[in-house]
Parts: sequence; C-alpha cells; structure tokens
Amino acid sequence: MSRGLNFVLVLLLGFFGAITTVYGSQDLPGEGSPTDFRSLDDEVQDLKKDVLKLNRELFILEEELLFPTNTQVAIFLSLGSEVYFALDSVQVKIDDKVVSNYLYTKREVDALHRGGIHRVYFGNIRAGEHELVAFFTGKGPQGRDYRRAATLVFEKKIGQKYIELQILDLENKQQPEFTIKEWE
Amino acid sequence: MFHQLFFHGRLLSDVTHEKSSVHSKVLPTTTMFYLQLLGVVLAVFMVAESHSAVTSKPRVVRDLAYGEALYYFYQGDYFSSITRLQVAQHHDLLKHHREDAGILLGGLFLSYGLHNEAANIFERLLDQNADVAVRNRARLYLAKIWYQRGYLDKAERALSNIQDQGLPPEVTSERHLLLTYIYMSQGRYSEAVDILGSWKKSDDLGMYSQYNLGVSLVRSGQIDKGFELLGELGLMPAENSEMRALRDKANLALGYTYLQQEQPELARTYLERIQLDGLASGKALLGIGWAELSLGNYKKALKPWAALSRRNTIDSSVQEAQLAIPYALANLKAEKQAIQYYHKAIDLFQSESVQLKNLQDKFIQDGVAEDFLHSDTIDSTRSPEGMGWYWRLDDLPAGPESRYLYQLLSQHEFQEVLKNYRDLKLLQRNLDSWASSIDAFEDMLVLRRDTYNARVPRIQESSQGFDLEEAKKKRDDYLKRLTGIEQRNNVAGLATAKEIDLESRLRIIDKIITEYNSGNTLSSEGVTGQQDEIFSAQREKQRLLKGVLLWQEDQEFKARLWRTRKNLRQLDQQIGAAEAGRKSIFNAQRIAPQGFEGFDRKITAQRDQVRYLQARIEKSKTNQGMYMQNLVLTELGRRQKRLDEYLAQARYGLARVFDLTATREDGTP
Repeated sequence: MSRGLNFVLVLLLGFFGAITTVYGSQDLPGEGSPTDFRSLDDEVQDLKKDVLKLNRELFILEEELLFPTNTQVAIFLSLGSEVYFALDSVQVKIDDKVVSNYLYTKREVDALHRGGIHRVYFGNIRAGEHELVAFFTGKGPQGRDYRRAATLVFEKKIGQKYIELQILDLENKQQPEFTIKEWE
Repeated sequence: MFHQLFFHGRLLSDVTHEKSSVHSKVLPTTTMFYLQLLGVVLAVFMVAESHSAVTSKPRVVRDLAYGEALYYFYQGDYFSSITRLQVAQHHDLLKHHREDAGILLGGLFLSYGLHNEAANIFERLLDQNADVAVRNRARLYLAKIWYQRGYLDKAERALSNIQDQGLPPEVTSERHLLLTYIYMSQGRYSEAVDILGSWKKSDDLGMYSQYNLGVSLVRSGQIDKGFELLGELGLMPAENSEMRALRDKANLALGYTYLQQEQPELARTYLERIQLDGLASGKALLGIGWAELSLGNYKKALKPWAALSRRNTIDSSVQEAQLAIPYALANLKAEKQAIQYYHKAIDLFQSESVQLKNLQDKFIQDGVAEDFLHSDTIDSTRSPEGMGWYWRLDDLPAGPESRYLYQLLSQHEFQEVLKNYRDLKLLQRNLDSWASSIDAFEDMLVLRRDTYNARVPRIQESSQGFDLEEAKKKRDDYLKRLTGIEQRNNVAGLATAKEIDLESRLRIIDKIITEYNSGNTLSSEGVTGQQDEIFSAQREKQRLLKGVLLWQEDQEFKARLWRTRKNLRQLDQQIGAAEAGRKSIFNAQRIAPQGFEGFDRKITAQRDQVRYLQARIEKSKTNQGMYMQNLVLTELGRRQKRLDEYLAQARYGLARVFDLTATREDGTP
C-alpha cells in the first residue's frame, strides 16, 4: 500500500472521528489544547473545593451565632413505619407554643423511608424543664385519616439538646407507634 | 432534551459508553453513564454501609447528623448533603458512620466534578471497607471520568489498580477498551494493538474494539491488516443503531480512501453499504456521486447529489453537493442549468457567510456562555438538577447559532466547560447570598454586644445588693444554733413566734407574781388573805399554761427539727445556685467579650474569604467563557473558511461555464 494512501487513511480516520479522538483533542485542531482544558478544570476543581469549605465554615458560624450551644435544641423526625402509617405532616409544640409545622412531599417521605432523618426544628430554649408535644398526621391502617400525638417532658441542661420523633410499625398490634427519644 | 443528549451520547458512546448499548437501547448513552456513575456511588456507599453493620430494613441510622445528610442525599439535594456531612465531621457527630459518611462524601464530590478529592477518599476508604468487586467498579468509573477530562495518566493508573481476581467479563471488556483509548490518545498504537489483538471480545464492545484495532493497525503502519479488519467490520450484521453507525464509519473511511486511491468502483461498493438515514449518509451520497463522476457517469452522479442538495444546507456535504451538481451539468453540456445552479450556490454561500459573520461578531461582543445559559432558570444549589455532573444543556439557544454549533455542543469538552461555567455561577450565587448573610451576622453581633453591655451594669448592681458571704455566714450560724438545740434537746429553741410571745407573757406574769410574793414578805401588813389566794391561783394558772406550752413545743420538736433542717438544705441549694450564678456571671463577663471578639474575627476573616473567592470565581468564569468563546469562534471560523473556499470555487466554476459557453457561441457559425 502506498505511503500516500496510508496518509489519506490516517487523515480520513481522523476526520471522520476515529473513536479515540472524541475525548481527545485531535479532532479539534486549533482549539484549546488538552493542557488548557486540564488546567482550567484543575482551577475550577480547586475553586469548588474552596467554596465548599467556606460554605461549611459559614454554615457553622451561622449556627453558632443563631443557636448557641447552651440554648440549642434540635428536633428530628425519623420514619421507620412502612406499612401502618403514611406521613403527611407533623406539628411540634414546646411548652404549648407551636415551633414547627411541616408538610412532607412525596420525595421527602421517600427519603425518610430510605433512612433519611429530617431536622424538623432547630432553635433556642432556656435551661430547665420543658414539655414537647408532637402531632403526627397522615393515613393509618386501611388508609384511614390518622392523627396521633406523643409527649415528652425533658430537662434542658447547658449544652446541645437533640430529640428524635420516631414513627415505627408495631407488628403485633398492626398499628403505628409514635415515640420520642432523647439523645445524649 | 433527549435530542441533545442523543448527539452527545453518540459521540461519547464512541469511546466509553459501549455498555450503554448493552444495557439499554432506549436511554441515551450519556444519561446511562451518569446513572451508572450514580449507581456505582450508591453501590460503593451501600456496601460500605453493610460493612459497618447497618441493617437496611428499616435502616438503623445511629447518628442523627448522618441521617440528616442522607435525607438530602436521597432527595438529590447534593449540595445540602455535602454541607451537612462536612459540618457533622467538623463537630464530630458521625461516631458510628464515620467511614460511610466519608464514602458518601466521596461520591458527592465526584458528582460535583471534584474527582481528585473523590479519588483520595475512595483510595483511602475503599481499601479498608469495600469488597474487591466494588473497588474495581469504583476504579473503572474513576478511570472513565479522568479519561473524559483528559487526565490520561490518572486514568491509566486507576485501570492498572483494578484487580484481575474475579473480574466480571463486562468490567474486563470495558477496562481493556478504555486502556486502548488511552493508548490511542497518546499515540501508543502498538500497545493498543497488543491489547486489542489479545483480548477475546464477546459482545458489542467487540465491534468497537475491532474498529479501534483497525485504526491502530493503520496508524502503527500495518495498513493492509488494518484495512482487512475495517472491511470485515463494514459487512458485519449490526443489531442496533449504535452498531450500524459504527459500521457506517468503517465503510465511509474505506470508501473515501479508495476514492483517493482512484478506485471509484471499490469506493462505491463501500459507500453504498452505508445506511441512508444515518449520520454518515451525507458524506456517503457525496462520495457515491464522486465515484460515479470518476467513472464518467455524470447523470448517475447527479442522482445522489440531487438527493443530498434537498437536505439541510448547513451540512458541508450538502454545500459541496451545491458545487458538484453544476460541475456535472457543465460536463453534460447543460451550461444554462449549470449557470443557474452556480448562481444558486453562490447565493446560498453568501447568505450563509453573512450569517456566520454576524454570529462571530455577536459572540466576540457578547461572549458565548450566557447565550447558552439564557434559558437556564435554575437559581438554587438546592435543586436536584443544580450543580454537578448530572446537568446537561437541555435547550439549544433559539438563534441561528444552534444550526452551526450543534456538533460542537455535542462534544464532551464543550459540555464540560459549559457545565463548569454554570457551576461557578451557582457557587457565585451561594457566595452572594452568604455575603448578605455576613452583614446580618455583623448586625446581630452588634446588637448582642449592645444588649450585653447594657445588662452588665444592672447585673453587677443587683449582685452587689446581695452579700453572698454574709448569707453563708448566717447559714453557718443557723446550723450551729440548730445543732446546739438538737444536742441540748432545747425544744423552746424551735418555738414559733406565737409561742415565743406566749413564753414572754408568761415570764412577765411570773415576774409580777414573784415580785408580789417578795413584797408581801417585806410589808405583810398591807396584804390581805384574799389577795394571797388570787395570786396563788394565778401562779397555778401560769404554771399550767407554761407546762402546756412546753408540752406543745416538745410534741412539735422533732417535726420542727426536720423542717428546719430541710429549710437549711434548701438554703444550701439556693446559696449554691447563687454561687453558680455568680460564677457564671463572672465567667460570662470574662468570656463574652472574648466570644464577641472571636465572632468579630471570624466574620471579618470569612467576609474577606467570600470576597476573595468571589473575585476568583469571576476570574475563572472569564477564563471558562474565553475558552468556550475560543471553541465556538474556531468552529465558526472553520465553517467560514470552508464557505469562502466553496464560494471561490463556485465563482470560478461559473466563470468557467461562461467561458465554455462563449467559446462555443464564438465557434458557432
């Protein structure tokens, strides 16, 4: 085979997009070189990393400012019930004052079913004894409207206070169970 | 959307997305790749979870902070998930899920294009946690990501770290194919031939590998062998559009090669194998026409060109057909028609040229990126389709640029740069939002400091009004007295105020009676016997009452002792609380100003950092924008140059036909 033909074939293979050239630069003569692309990509990676780090720092600063550790209280909700309760919304009262009303979307409920835990409330309370009441609304067994409450009297000491509202299935009673757990 | 993905997917599929055609014939390959990427991240993450003894149904999350990050992760809100994980790591709130969280964070970094960070995490954590299969799959995907981004060295290293033991056939195939792409991209064709030649292919990847092997053979100097392989590929049955497109590529390459070699019949044979509705059909029709022309079949040449000329005039094959048709007509001595076609071609080229020029001016003046992102309405990093790898350009700009740039837009490099540009914009919004929050933080801090400064004097004044030491001294005295009362069994010591009053009154009565008795002794002549009786009765009454009082006090003594001790204990507590309060106030007075200063320092430092990063983002956006502009202008310039050449050829052809006509008319008697 002639050298000319060899050249043409190589040229044509390049022109028509030899498979390898798609990600490389051979099919883009005159454009930004791979080195340029890589250095730009490195630059953006570094920048993204720095912004994510700063975002974290600012998030922490915001929490420290708005919710000092001594008065901080966080209330979470987890959903272990898959059969006997379909969650629609939750209302949380502390010392008879509504602090949170949350209506869940399908996507959020799905995330809860898969192990996600939602922070329903994040705020400040004084040290001392408090009463927490959570109202859960949704569909119970056989798709009936269902509203239940759970109560906890807790002591807020100096330091963060974490409380978890748990919704579980009680297999033996074929009912959902609503409990409140204090975290150390 | 799928239209755009299709184009992109076609090109991507050429390199690394062979599996997509195996697994799905519906989804575009690029989408499949990202889904697979997400899949591998999840797989890695799930396996890591299983290794940390976490049950899945219902999942037992043992750290609230980890569950919170999962809550956002499962909703596709990766930015929030990253933030929560990072904050939880900072506060050491992931005691039970430290490694799971690390791997999840690695996957999320990967989705944000932070492949170096992700790789570091994977290398560190996967080695300890995941099984070999998951490790291998993670490395394969890392290699793909690096290959796509041009990090060939890293991609090769990741592939070399894949362990052969128990490697599934599909992973083996992908690994080999990817390695050949890396070699070919680096011009290492002999090494590519070695791998491709020794590797047994059993699926669709085989066709890609054969094509690559053919190309590698030709490029490494083994022309005949390469031709033979490409020829075989050109006749292979193809089950899907992807494989048919690949077969077309082989036939097209061979057809044009034989055209250049002046073997038109052979060229026509290969070109006629190309499907008419495929991406290569334009070039095939053009080539068939040239093959017919080379064989002297002018009329036959007109057929494919006429079919081609009715297609979109933006295609270079269609443009070339506009020149080829009058050329053939002129050779058929149909000069009048040839002149008409040349004029038509000149009008077309001029019109296209003006449009291209306008576009180039527009892009030089306005830049490129914003034009492509004008319909991008995502304004929050919270959106599942916010930042990161899963975003694609859905809608092309409505203007004429789409016609010229769709090929460029479908290319990975352009998409990546555009995506980076878009990510930077979203990060910029995030920083802008923090910039205003920081001002609010500062105001909040000022308010808190003012409130504190206003309260301190009041608290100091209030604490000065209460002498804690004096209170403690009194309490000690009480205790001492109580102990004495108890030891001496002094029941009167715990008498009530009423009892004390009664005691006092009884003492006065006792004194009067005593004084009376002593007076009576001194001057008995003044005292009557009747008065003696009265005093005697009163003394008895006084004694009785004193006895009753003592009895009462004795009866109540133990209860009073208990109550008094209880009160003392309460007093102890109150004094303790007062001491703690005083200590707390003292500490607060000592720490609060430091806290304010600490916040001040943090706010100042982070505001500076926000400004610094805002400036860096702006600069990087400019760089990305310029890079995109360069890509676009180069592409438009290439089209412009080709149009200029076609225009010159059309004018030359027209002049040639006029000459021929004039010569013929001159020669006509």
